[in-house]
Amino acid sequence: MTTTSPAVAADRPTIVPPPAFWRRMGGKALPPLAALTVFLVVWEVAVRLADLPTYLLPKPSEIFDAIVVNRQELAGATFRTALASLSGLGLAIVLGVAVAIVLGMSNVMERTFFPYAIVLQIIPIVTIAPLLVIWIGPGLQSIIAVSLIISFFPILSNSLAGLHSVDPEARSLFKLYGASRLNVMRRLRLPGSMPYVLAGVRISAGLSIKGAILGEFIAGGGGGEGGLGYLVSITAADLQTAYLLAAALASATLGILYYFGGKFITGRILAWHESTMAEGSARGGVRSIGAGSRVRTEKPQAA
Amino acid sequence: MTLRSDQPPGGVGEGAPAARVMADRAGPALVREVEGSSERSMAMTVDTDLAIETDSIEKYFIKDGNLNHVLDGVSVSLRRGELASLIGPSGCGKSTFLKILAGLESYQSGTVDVLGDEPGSGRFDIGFVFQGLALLPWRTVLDNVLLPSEFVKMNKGEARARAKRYLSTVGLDGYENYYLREVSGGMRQRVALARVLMSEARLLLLDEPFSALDEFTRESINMLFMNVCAETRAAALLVTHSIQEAVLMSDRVFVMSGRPARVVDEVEISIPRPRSRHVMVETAFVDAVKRIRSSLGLEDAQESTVDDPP
Repeated sequence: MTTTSPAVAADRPTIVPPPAFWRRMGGKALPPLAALTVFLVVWEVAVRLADLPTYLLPKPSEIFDAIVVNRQELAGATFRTALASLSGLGLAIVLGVAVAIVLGMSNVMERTFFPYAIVLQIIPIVTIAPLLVIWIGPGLQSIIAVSLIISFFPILSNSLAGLHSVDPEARSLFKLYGASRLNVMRRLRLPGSMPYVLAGVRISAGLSIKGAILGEFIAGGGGGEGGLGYLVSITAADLQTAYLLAAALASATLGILYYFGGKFITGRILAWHESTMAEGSARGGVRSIGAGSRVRTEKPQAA
Repeated sequence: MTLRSDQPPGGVGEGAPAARVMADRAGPALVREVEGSSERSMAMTVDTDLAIETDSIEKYFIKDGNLNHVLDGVSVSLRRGELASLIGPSGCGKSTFLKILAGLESYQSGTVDVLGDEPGSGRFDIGFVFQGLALLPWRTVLDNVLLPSEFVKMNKGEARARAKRYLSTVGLDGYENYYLREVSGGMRQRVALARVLMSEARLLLLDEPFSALDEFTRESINMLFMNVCAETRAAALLVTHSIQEAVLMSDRVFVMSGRPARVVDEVEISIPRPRSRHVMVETAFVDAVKRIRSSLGLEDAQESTVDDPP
């Protein structure tokens, strides 16, 4: 340890790289996957033993069959729901942040209009949705509108909280510089609020799917052009329970995709932020040796 | 008396690469030109050559319906190019006083003159280093230093070149593209220092920015700061809790009382510069520390109340 001559080089600390991505993910995913397998086997066996009819509780194998048989219809519906919810979410981000900026720039505006944003949040969306259909017609536009309304508030309230959470000393610094209100917004408040904004977006990402499915329930979109919500409503009416569960599974998959997508984007935008510290920064700089790696000080075993 | 003007530029130095600061003088300044060094040497007699002049500042604020008397007739004057410290019990209003000078706090009566002007916003001739540094964590080290240049008309390439020069002055070469969370506490202080230099302020106000540092880092930052002040000929007023630090760094030390704060003593430190930590054993240093301790009412070690100076 005290000498560094080449003869004992093997005794110097060596960095053992972390296991490859898939092995790492495999290690993380293994316990829940094992639990899922056990659950599915118990389900399958129990339904077989109890001899329950398919419309009441389908076996996992029947759900799998339903996915395979209806894969094209299912994929189309998932795609349409994804399209509607991403449109709703996108609009909610733009509107939510824009409204937050306007309210954040002026106390009067915030005191006047923020209560109505809360009211919009409190009114159950199912009571507004039929109204939307009457106003803007059934189909995609209403579905997007429902998704937008349901995703809007978390983004607005989080962004507003972020805009208000400015380091008072940084504010003083900008005052010393004689910065305009717009400059304070652009260079200080908005960038500083990004962790909050993105937390809101992550909450709203899940909500936007719920909003889209609810919108499809109410605003329909028939003729083979419906999304998952539409699929759920018709399969439920026909007691196609296996197919219904397949649609539920598809919406859950969509939600998981959004979650990881949101995590990825957050990591890119917030490379500077403590919350992404363990991930290593996007633009070089100091990197920790890496989670999962070890520093080995002993001579490695001959392999 | 104006010891620091007599130092040849570049002759000061304890390891810190402060020499390039002077070279930058040629570039367009963010502030109006100040008097040349020949006039500076007459600082003792010419009143207009003051960096700070306050006369009987009174400051109150209302907290929980009670009127708090914070500053009680604070009169302070500091010559251009001088380095001074403000020392006193915590919560006595030192920071408030500093913020009044920067135009960040109001006051009820008295007069304040900072570099020949009233305090106000948009003063790039005043550099303020905050206790929490007020750096922007979403910016890289370089982009943090560039911040002041974004509020004035300035060529981007020129601004970058200047920012890089100042980063090198504070010893942060090669750290331009690091985020703040990737660098140490001492390095963040250096970033804040480089940002203040970027605005080419003639008066630096420091609100205990070094208090969170460990002893070694603090010492090296202190030395760096002294060098930078000597090189840029900027005046500086440093709020500190450390008597040793105050004496080591300053040409004069203002001792403040507890609330309502008054200046109870003004100690001139005539230890020649450049100073190193070795001056801390000299008689002049020890005497100054003793005098400040007694002005703070700390002479009796048993006595912990500093609110009633003799």
